[in-house]
Amino acid sequence: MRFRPAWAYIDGVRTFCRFFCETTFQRQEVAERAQLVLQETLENAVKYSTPGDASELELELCSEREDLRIAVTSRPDPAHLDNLKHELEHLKLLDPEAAYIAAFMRASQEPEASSRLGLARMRYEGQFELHLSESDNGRVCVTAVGRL
Amino acid sequence: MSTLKTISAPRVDGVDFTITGPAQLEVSGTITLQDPGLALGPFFRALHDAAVTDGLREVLVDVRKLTFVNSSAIRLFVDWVTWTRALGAGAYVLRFRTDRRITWQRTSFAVLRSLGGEVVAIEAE
Repeated sequence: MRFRPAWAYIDGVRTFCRFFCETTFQRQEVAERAQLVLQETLENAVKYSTPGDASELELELCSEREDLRIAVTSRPDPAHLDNLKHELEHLKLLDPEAAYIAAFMRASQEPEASSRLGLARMRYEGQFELHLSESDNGRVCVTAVGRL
Repeated sequence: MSTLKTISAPRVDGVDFTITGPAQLEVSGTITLQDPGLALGPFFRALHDAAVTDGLREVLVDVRKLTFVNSSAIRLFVDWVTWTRALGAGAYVLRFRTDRRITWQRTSFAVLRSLGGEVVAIEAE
């Protein structure tokens, strides 16, 4: 699925993908986990996309054996990309539950900062692991892989 | 006279807030706004201030019908717990009534409980 990075699309895409997962995999729990990963990855992609024709978002959702893979490709602002890499490296130092608790603590201690709960939430609540890959043209793919 | 009951709930697409008693709030719908802190933060702060003014020992927040939120909306609950904890010995208890079948409620409120300690209670139905 491809679309321009507009906030207005997120609810509709999440709702469709939730329906798709529930219908295809016949498990409400998988659909709920998938929808939160979709929400958080799409929000990040939309918020931090650079303007221009090459900024179209690309969403891929597929199952491979016992895994569900959700990939969102965008062209983010370089400053955001640096933050994203840093956050992902930091997250991997902790198990998903500890990382989510740490994110809550940070949000509590930094009331003026943005929430920055989304990545840790995807790992703990969604039970998805996150990977990042970059292309030469400035496009970045965030891939979330979780068990079906 | 309950100060909390006089608070007007904000009109925001997708979510409804109903103050159902002098110390009870019901939230239903979804919160996926880009900046929920801007739209809803002042309302949550008003609820907290009213609970303090009214000298409440506990506020019940029924979120069973709040089916989905983004992580920026979870921040609203983190802030509320943080304000309550900051009251120290005078803190009231935030009691969240949740639906254990809804994934985000089961996991995020458990973590909120670990953040809030004694000021957060969870009723999972």
